[in-house]
Amino acid sequence: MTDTIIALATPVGESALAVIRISGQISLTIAKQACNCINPNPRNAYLVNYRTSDGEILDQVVITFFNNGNSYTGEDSLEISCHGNPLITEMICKDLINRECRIAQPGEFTRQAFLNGKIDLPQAESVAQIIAAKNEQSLALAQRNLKGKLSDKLLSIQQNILNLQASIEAHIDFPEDDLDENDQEGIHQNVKKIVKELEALLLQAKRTKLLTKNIKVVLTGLPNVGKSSLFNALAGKNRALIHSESGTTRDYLEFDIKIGKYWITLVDTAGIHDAAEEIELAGIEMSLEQAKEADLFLWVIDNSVPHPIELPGEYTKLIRSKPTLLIRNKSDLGEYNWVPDYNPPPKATNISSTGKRGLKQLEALLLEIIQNITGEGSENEYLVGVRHEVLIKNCLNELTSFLLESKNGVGDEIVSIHLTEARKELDIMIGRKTNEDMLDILFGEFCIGK
Amino acid sequence: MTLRVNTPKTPYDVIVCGAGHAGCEAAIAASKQGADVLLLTGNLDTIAQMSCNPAIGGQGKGQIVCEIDALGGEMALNADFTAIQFKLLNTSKGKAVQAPRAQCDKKAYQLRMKHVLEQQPNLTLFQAMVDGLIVENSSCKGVTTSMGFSFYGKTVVVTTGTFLQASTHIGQSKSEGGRLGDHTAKGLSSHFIKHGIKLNRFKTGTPPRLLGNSINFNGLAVQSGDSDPTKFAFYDSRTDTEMFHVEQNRRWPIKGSHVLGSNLVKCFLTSTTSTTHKLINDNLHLSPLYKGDIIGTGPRYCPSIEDKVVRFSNKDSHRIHLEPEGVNTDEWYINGLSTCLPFNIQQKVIQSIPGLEDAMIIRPAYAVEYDYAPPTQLKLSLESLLVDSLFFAGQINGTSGYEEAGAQGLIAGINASRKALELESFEILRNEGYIGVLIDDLTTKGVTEPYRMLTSRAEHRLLFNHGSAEYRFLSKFETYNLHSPSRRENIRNQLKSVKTWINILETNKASSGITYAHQIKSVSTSELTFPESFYNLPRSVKEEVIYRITYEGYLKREITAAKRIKNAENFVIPSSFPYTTLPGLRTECIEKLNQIKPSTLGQASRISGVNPADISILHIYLERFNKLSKDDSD
Repeated sequence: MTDTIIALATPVGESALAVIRISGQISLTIAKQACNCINPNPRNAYLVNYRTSDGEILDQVVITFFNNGNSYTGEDSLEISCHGNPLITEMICKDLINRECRIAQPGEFTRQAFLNGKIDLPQAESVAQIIAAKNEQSLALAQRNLKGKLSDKLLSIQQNILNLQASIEAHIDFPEDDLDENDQEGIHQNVKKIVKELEALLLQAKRTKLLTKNIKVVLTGLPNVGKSSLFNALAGKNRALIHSESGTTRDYLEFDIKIGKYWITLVDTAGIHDAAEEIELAGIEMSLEQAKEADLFLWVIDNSVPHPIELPGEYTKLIRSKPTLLIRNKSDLGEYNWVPDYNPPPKATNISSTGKRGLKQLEALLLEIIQNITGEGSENEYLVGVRHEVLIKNCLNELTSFLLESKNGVGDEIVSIHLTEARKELDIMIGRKTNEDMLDILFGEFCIGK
Repeated sequence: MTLRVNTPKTPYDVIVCGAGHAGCEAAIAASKQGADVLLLTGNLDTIAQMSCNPAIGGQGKGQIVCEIDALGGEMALNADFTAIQFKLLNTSKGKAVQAPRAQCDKKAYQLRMKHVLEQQPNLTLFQAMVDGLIVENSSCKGVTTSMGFSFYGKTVVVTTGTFLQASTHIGQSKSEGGRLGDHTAKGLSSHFIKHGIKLNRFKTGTPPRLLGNSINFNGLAVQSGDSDPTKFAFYDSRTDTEMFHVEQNRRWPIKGSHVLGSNLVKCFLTSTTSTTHKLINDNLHLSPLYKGDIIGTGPRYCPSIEDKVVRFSNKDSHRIHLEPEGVNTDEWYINGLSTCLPFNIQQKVIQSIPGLEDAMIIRPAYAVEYDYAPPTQLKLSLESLLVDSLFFAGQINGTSGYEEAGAQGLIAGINASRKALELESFEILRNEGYIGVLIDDLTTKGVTEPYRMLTSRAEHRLLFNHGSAEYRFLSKFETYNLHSPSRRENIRNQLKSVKTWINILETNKASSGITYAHQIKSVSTSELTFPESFYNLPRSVKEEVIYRITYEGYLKREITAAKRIKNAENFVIPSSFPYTTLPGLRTECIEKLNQIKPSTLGQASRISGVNPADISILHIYLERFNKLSKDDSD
């Protein structure tokens, strides 16, 4: 069976729409399984929800299926038009990879088209030249992207794995030589260290995502604590309707602002309380949706009353699981300075609702938290894109299997396969190290020669 | 079997030059394929000589010997019958990387192989020094000899070993010769160069030999063989006549029991001392290796003692193994002490080692430097890319080791005869066995030091356990005539039996209540029980059944991975493919492809300097090229 390949057909970045192309045998399966489109008519558009293998809806998308007779590549193909948010396209691509698609090499769609007799030789020739040019370009690009810390990190991991494998292989291939006992414990420690480093990179991949899209900051709190006036103060415009009657903000409002070098989307949601009206109930439902997607909370409370009413349990849980800034509003009316009783308590700041007192301090704290999330300025500041994230994850999985099987007494000659596989993932990112490189280390490190 | 001198009109099918480990296998394999073969050697008394250690097999190598046997070669039987100690290596590790090795009686090994050659139908054996090639229109037609006459052949296999422009070194003293006391092959090198074949220099070395009764074995650690020997050859598939072919047909039948082929000897272990190391360090300037007199690259896995002392100065001692060279001699091989220091220093070095204080050197250690022809100039069939009908096998291809040489000889011999008989070539791919890895590595990647097999060179070594060689190559036997029909049938039945028994053990429960298969995976070997009739199966079947069950999950994964290689491997690149005219390919890549001339897309992808994008482009043009040539022929 040949691979099913995917690629983003539209430029990377914010746009109204983005198109992901899929070509290969499992295109139809994806239409069925991810888009619940059981029997698509070729060349017809369908409006569907795109769901991950776990059933989570990623986006509402338009899909078009092309059967192999009618597609550009001559293979079954599927085009997914989704919203042009880099996060969405990345998540869809990632899900497609989970479904055993693979990211296409430069020019690979055209290569399929040629092999299936869809285009002729002159066309293929021009494509070949483009492939060559693109390859140089992408190599240069990749090298630029990778120049610096990330590539250094990956190179050192690659080197470490080679060293470990050299030691294991020396003991397999030279059983009669006078080698010291293989230090299993040391090898395990080393692999564990590499696993930690890879996990740190995965965390960084998460952070990188925040750099390529807006950071979602959700205002949350009980009704009438002054969320909307804070929203307006931050947005600098009278965007939300301010009213002292409980439950004015029934829908949610968004506004993009820039803090430091970060773009954030500020979201004002309905106040959380036991709503009476149906329309408010809908608003509260929506608030919870928003809260789930938040990268950061601004938790607003009324500082003029001694004991704020607790939030519903699911909110408390969400707030505790994500970075949160506690904002004690209406401090001009009273300063009870309540602190939640969990540890560590969120960072807190006091502001006045009317005079905008404390707003600068709030913004400074907000930036601090964001920098913390993105890891700005820390020594782990790598840019790790989705492509790398997948490879790093694979590499990590191999090393985890290595540790597990090795612990269970599986032989070195077998667990060594996991090191080879882990190396393959690194090879894709930073260039190939061959078996010869491993042997160079082996003969350099171990005195061989019975 | 006739000696036909100066007869261009009635050429031999195959002429093999050299009767070392490669040459013998080449000649036997070619004649078994039905070719009319002439085997030329410079000296009939040094046929199949073990110039270095008196042992066959070892890690990676033992597996090759089993594969040679599975493909109809002679090395395994010859080693089994002349062995004086058997040892299975890596028994503390899994079966996948266990390898048989045997100390052999050096002289008995040679004599038996010579007798095999003498008895082989379609094979003419003759002592003559080849000193040139007869080449017409870039096609090899025969060879010239130092006696002034020529032999004509449809194909020629060159197996010069270390004899091409060879020189030996002991300290400052340098003399011509591919082995101490032997000649050198002159003339051939210039012929190769004249026909565009590039040559390079390699170096190798061998330790001193001692007289046993001057060694004090008291106090040295004894190294005994296994009480239950693991042999190289497959006996369960053979009829009796195939097993003892020489022994049964010899002119003077042996009376009484056959003494070789069992554990007769002990080896001993000693080690170097700080005195040894000081001696070596003090006299490094006298070693041609360090003086710069030797320019050839030596093998890193078999370094001279001076290399070990210098490069691993933190080690205060290195192991030395004492191995007997045979049962009719008291000559001992001093494994681990290869050197080219001057003889007087060698003597002192020996005396600094426990047990060897009074030992007498009867054959000094020396280094040998020789020409090899970089093997990237070969096809997978081991035929030259530059001269048609000319094949290369063994150390001339930059390898080291009797086993590696034998394997190449076998493949070159089969292919030379198939070429002469106008049959398609016989190739073993790297996903099929160690021999496939060997030949693919040589022809695709080339060599930077004398090449020896290591299990880590094989991507899927779990599939290459030594016991499975016959089963792995079964499909080859069907296409190529490598075995008697009865052996082929036996192997086929055994494989069937393996599969049936795996099924039985997976479905039936042992007395403990779990399936036999589950038991194999979870219980130690000593506690294993089997259905009664399992015990009566041939040993090779039993072992393979247990192997496949033990490694089941891993083997599945490996088979899938190996298949992926195979897809690219099935994509054949025609030898006439015009790389130079392809737009879009980088110049560096075109040069590499033109030089290596990969025979498949898979091989092309392993060439260093050819990247995935190049393969994409190549793939496009290949499809086109194949389609066009198909249209032309329609």
